[in-house]
Amino acid sequence: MARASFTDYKRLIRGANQFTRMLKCDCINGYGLGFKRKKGKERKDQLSIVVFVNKKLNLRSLPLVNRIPEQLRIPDDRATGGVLEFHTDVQEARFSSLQYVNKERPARSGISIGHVDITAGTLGGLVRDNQSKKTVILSNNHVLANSNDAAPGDTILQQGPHDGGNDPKDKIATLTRFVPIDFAEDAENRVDGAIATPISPKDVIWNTRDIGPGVPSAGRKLGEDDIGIYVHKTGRTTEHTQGYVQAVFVTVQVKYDLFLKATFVDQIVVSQSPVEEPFSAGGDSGSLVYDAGNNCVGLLFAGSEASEEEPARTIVNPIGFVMKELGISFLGKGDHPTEKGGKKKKTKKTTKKKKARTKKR
Amino acid sequence: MSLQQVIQRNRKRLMMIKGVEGVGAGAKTADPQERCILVYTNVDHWPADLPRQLDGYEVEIQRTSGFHIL
Repeated sequence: MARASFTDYKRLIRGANQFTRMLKCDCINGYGLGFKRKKGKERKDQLSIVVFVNKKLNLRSLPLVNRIPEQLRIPDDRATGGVLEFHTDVQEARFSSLQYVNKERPARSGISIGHVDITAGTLGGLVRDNQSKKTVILSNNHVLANSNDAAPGDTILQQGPHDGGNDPKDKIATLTRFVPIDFAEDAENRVDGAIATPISPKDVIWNTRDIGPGVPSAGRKLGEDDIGIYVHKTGRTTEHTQGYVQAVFVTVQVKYDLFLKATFVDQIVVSQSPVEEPFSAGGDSGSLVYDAGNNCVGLLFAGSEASEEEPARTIVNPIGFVMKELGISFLGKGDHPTEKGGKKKKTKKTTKKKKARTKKR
Repeated sequence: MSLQQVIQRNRKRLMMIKGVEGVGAGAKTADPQERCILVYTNVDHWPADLPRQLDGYEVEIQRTSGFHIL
């Protein structure tokens, strides 16, 4: 038996090996070439195949096919004795696309946000508060207002606490108001929504990741004819995904915790074909959902898990109810900076025009 | 009566049926151009008391594990 050389390790890593199968079945998070670690220190003399897992487990608790032995012995005609010996090292590490869970300033929509006492949700979009006339952040009540348990002025963090957001370092906004969720048995809710005012308008930018600048800017009410249409969203967890409208005018019971349920009426259900990734997952709450023309159709807030028999489903509040119940409207051109250009200066002329329009209404 | 009206009129009653998690307007599995009443259920069988038709619209069931906030 011969010890594997650096070239042997490289060849093993790049070729077909048992770790590829384990990666495909999500048994491991990744693997590569590195040095063995002992008591937190790298041993530079011990080249290894480093395998990353969520948690290191006792070999006995794992099925045979998922065990990673300390030494791998692989037949090789070129080696002395016909066998090459490789070292392995199992390390705990998870990987994710960090861009949607990171701190970002100015923050775009579609990324992590949350009330200081929750885990994390999604910054849905920038809208105008009809009361203060300010640009505000739109997301869910259960993301920005901790499912009714918050008060105006509470701290909102970006990124959300679960993603490492700390108060006051990552404070981006304060809670402005929310639509209370009525948990009474005979109550009918339509919106799980809240808005928060940024500490500084410069901390946010009118742009939704993967969708574009100046979004959201328009909305659309879905009806019976929209069953089956394509929709898309960007969210903290599943990022940019697409699905189709499976049902409209939906009444559903939604669990807020083990004991708390609320009934929502006139909702939209989004699903996806079996070959597509789930439209949403935990942490995507607060995402705004768009049709193919990037008209906002709703605010994502709940869903069901996928199983072998059924695909995952996502529950969306129709945007019209969200705007009405929260007292908000879409931003217009020049209302807030987008990534593709600064805020347009309002001239006296445009201001006058706006005043005239307001009076007519 | 439109499908929306049928659902509005019947949703409370349908939601009280054991195993029903949701009710809405959807498309028939066999013919996506045809509309039907979609009922999301947490049971594999057709729930007792759930009608097969309501005001001329067919009822279809879809299995779900139940809905929760994301």
